[in-house]
Amino acid sequence: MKLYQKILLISVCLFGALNLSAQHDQLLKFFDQFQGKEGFTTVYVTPKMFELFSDIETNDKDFNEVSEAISMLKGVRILVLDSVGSLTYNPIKLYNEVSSVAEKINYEELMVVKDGDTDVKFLIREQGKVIEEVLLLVGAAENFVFISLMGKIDLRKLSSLSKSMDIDGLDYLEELEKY
Amino acid sequence: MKVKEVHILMEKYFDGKTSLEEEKRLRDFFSNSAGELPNDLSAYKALFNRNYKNEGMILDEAFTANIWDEIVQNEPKTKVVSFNAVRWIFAAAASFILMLSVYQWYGIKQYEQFMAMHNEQEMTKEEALVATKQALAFVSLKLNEGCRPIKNVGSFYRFQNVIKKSKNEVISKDIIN
Repeated sequence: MKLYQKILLISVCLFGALNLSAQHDQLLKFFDQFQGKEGFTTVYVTPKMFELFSDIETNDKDFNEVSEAISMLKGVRILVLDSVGSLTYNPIKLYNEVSSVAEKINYEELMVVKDGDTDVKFLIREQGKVIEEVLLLVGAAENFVFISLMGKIDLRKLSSLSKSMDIDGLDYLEELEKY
Repeated sequence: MKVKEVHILMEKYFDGKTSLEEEKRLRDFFSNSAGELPNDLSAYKALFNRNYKNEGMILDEAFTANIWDEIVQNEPKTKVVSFNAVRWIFAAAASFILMLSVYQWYGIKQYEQFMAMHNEQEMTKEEALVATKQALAFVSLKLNEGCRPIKNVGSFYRFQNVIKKSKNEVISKDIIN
């Protein structure tokens, strides 16, 4: 292979790699544009913060249960639009906007649940066979929730959490395995 | 040969005008006249009395080849490159993509910096932990809620099979009748 062909190949690869992360960025920019706006609650727990979690010492029973799940995470983004915010922003519109952006880039739908006027959508981003990000979108008449969990995520572990954390909700993912 | 003649030839020799035969005569003169040279000529004895045994030596093939190799090796390697249109297009495309990549990379870096600055001011470790736990719990809950209907899919298939069975029975009865 000639030198100029090599250079071209390398630059195409570089461009491709950066382009993917730039696309991923689109979603983060969406997240960022509502940061600090009235009616919105935004939380971004950085990878740096997750490093700090490793040396937390606590007697909290929940924490020990959750720590395993936390150790698989690298970052968390939460964006919640409450009923006050829903007077200014249309939650359903936001829901549709994010899901269309996410599907355009490399997120895949895991499940969509429509329950009354509430839409719930799970999207995942995979690298090979490993789930790199789980995106949860909830859209209702008065609420919009956007949660992104980043890291190498095991869905079964995630699903079993609600059991250990004394939250209502049954472990149906184990049932899912049977079919 | 007379001394006078020798002087003339010497003069010619130093002017570089002697023929090969004249030079031979000079050499003969110096080599043959052992002790009887005049003072002014004795100084030149060494010059013409050299050992000419090797005069006719012919350099062997290998020597010549080596010299040639040396010359070829030291020659600057210049390739004639025809920089045609296709290459220009390749080069232009490569540099364009490279520039775009750098631009994107720069944008991403800036964005990350901005995000990092925003977040460092806002949260303590404990707050972040609570938020993470809540997020995990919420996602877990919704995941399970979402999976709940799937449990019923199994019974739906069983139900469907029952319908199919009874339908088949009805059809077979019709045929018999």
